Amino acid sequence: MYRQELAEQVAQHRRYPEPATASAIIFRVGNEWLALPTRMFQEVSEPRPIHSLPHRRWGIVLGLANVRGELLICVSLTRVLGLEDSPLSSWYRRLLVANSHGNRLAFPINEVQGPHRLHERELNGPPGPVIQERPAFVEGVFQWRERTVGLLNPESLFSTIHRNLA
Amino acid sequence: MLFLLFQLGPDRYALEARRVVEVVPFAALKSLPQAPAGVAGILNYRGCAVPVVDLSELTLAKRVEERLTTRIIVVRHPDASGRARLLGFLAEHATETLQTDPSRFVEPGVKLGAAPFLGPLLMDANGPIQWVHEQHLLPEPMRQVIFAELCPIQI
Repeated sequence: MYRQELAEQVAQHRRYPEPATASAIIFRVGNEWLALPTRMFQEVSEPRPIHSLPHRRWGIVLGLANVRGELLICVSLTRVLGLEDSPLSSWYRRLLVANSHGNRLAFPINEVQGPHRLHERELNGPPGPVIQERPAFVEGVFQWRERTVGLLNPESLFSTIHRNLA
Repeated sequence: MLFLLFQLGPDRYALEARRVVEVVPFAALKSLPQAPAGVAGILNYRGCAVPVVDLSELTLAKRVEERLTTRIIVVRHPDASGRARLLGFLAEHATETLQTDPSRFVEPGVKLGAAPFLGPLLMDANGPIQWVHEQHLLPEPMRQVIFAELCPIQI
């Protein structure tokens, strides 16, 4: 009887989001664990070939990748954040597509962990290499499964990348 | 002020929305064979055992119709010692709300029987809507039974 199914639904606790929390997607770039607010997160795809641009072989832009027919600019987060730069092929397993106010960028990454609900008070733990090198890009760090994750500030990240592209 | 509308038989009623905790579907209830008439059973509401009263049975001596628009209105209700408890009311057509000035509800000027929960009336295009003071809906002896004997569980 369908009323029994309804009873099971009504018996479930409603999950109200806690105040002052944010949702972030945690991912790994090289050896560094980072996070971006979930709202910016568009998709994660299988690694696509990145076609390097002729006059942009160095710097943060790695090239262009075709994601569902759209050519997206691929940016090296390790270079933007001043992290240890290891060859892409050794860790490029996924392509993360982020969207900030209609501007889409693709970041090669290693792996992704699903949305994580982050409480305000968890931020600003002990600093790691990310926050020391480029404090402007990192809103804070938090602990997740015994790892230190740097929560990236999407606005400063995107605006810097776009300035670099211009 | 926001009101939740519902029906008992053909008549329309309004309950202040701020008194409502949640409106849930007419889910299966655990029945209480020894309960007085008007007590439909116990609802597992988000892990709490909430007694559910059949408003139609209480006021019209006729069980509520099991329609898709029949709902259980969960309200906060004080028990005998004034503690806030949860109580559910089965009501038909409990799917609409009305945003209106409370002063539009007017005393009917006719004594409509000894029903302390019935308040003033509002007339709209479809007829009268009567304000229900749900805190007076349960007759005192029933309130005692429900909270003290059937469901001695505090929120």
